[in-house]
Amino acid sequence: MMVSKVNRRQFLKVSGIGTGLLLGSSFDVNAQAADKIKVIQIRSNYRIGRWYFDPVGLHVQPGEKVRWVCTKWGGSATAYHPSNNNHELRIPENAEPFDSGIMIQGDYDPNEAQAANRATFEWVFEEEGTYDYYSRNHERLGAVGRIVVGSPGGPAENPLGYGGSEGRAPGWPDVKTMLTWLDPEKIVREKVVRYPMDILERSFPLELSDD
Amino acid sequence: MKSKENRWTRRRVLKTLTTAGAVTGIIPMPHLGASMPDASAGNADWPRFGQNLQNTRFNSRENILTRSNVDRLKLKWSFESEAPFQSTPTVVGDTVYFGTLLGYQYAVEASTGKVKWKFGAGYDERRNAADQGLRSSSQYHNGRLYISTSLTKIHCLEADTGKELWQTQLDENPMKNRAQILCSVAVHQGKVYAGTSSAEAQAVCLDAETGAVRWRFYVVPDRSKGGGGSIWTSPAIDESANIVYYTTGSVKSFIGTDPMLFTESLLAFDGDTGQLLWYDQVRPADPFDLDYGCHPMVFDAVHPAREHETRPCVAAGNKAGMFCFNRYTGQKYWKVMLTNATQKGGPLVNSTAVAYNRVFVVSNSAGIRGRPPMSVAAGLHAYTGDIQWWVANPALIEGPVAVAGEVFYQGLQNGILEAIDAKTGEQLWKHNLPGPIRGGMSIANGTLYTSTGTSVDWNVRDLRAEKTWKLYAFSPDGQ
Repeated sequence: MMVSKVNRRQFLKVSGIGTGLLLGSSFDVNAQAADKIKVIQIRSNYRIGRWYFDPVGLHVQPGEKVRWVCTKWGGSATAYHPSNNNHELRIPENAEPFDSGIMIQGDYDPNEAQAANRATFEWVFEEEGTYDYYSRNHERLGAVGRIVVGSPGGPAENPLGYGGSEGRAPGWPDVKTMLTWLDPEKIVREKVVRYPMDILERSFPLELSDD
Repeated sequence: MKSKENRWTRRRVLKTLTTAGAVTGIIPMPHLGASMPDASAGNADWPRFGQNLQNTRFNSRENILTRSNVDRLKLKWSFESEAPFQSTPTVVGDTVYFGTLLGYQYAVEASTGKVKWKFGAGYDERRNAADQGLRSSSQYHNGRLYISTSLTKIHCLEADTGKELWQTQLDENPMKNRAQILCSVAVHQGKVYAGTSSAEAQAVCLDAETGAVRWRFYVVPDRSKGGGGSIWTSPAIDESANIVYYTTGSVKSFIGTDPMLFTESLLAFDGDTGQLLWYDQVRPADPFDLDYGCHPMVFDAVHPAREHETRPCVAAGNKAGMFCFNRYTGQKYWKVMLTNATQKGGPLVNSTAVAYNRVFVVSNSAGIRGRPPMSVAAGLHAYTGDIQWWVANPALIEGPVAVAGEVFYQGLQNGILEAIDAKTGEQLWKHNLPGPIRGGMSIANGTLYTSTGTSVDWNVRDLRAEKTWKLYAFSPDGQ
């Protein structure tokens, strides 16, 4: 018979009682890492049926590093760039496109998650301009964000679909709404723009047909 | 309802319907088709999660603890555990089997609570404590005990000794996929039916003798999508037609306009081959998490006025309502929603049962705009879905319910354990336990077994509030 050595005391310890080990819900979106890296959370809210980045708008200086932390399984931080599933170019023309890949939820053992580079993703922004990005599996739900590096500029200043949509990944209505709302000048002015819960709010619950 | 690769021909439907008696009108239904899963089990045992393979959570053989003496229930014994409970005790003869969130499977004497044996199924210290251990119920079958764990393993043990005979891990990478098992296995005709909660959720059929995989169905067949569709609860089986029914959870990925089949669906499989016979997806690519948290239940429902008219049903509750289908065709018979649809609302965590031509549902409602949440328990007519009785609950529910001896039992989040007249909704008995009741209860051989667990948010704060977790045995006058 296999018998685990985990006892009651260990259960209390593992469950976080008295240790505060779990990250998840206690994570503060405004808390910056000790090395001053700016942090963006990838979150979901079932009540409104949304996935989102918070802050959704962020201003950084050239050479600054940004860290995305995924609080729910399956998010990504992926630049609008033809190399990323043929999305239209919405980062500066000379900027390198980024893509975190699918990230797991960040409430597992933090050391392991960091080592696997799966619950967090970091990127250093060198080129000045406006960067738009999305979460691969949640773009249709309006899960997009915008980062202004130095001064606004570049292709992201154009409306969604500026180069024509033929052959490109779809331009979802909720993405258009969010990017229209995310004024780059507002981002520069406010530095941090929190996700607005009311911009894309939908009626809830959806009524089911009873046929 | 949609059909995929439907080999369920008209001829076979007619044959099956005839077998079940629906065409001839000759249907033996002493308790709506709830047969015992194993002839070797005792007289009024509770050998698995749903009591029977139809998952009715109704013990039709219980005739000691009934409506006539339920008001004399008193504590017989209790067993203190090292961790919370979240599963229904399995009762066979003089033994009670149960697991804890620390991954221990116990066998204790039914008369005293004294430990017979204890099996450690393992524990992953890297994971959230509330997602750990044995969150599903065991099944006794032919001298063996089958259990499933949050490490996504199925273990086969000797029921007398706890000695392990085999184990099979279902998810290739539980950490990466955030995988676990809450699905209580269903063992039938040499096969073990199981399911996982995972980014790559799967329904699996294992060989009961060896643990080898006989067939496997990924809920979102293209695994690269990471679509989820977790199977949160136990499958049900139509034994005569050899059909296995699963319910699935919400989607994890929203890829374009893809409906992300087969998330938030009720699925019917051929038990031998795993071929999908029919499915019903209640909501495509649903971002509101209104998933199926309740087990499918197989039963035959009798028309309220014409006793010879019956419906072959499979019913299950999700967070937006109780749905009842023709179990051979997928045609929807009725849908009833007692509360509003929310992530923590509706029939939640197996809070449904079937007995006496009635579907029992406990449904939660979320608090909206400052109003408190609420919960209701109801008895619905099995044929029509009409509400026959309805009572407001003093707290939310987050665990399974059960029926025996004309009594409906429910355990609430605030620790209230309640016995209700199954026909009228009248309260017959109430007892306050010191913690939330998460694993529901079983009624077997004159005794009511239940336990305390963690609360609905499944987080550390709730664990901290509860210092002890116990399994309780109640019987008339405590005898």
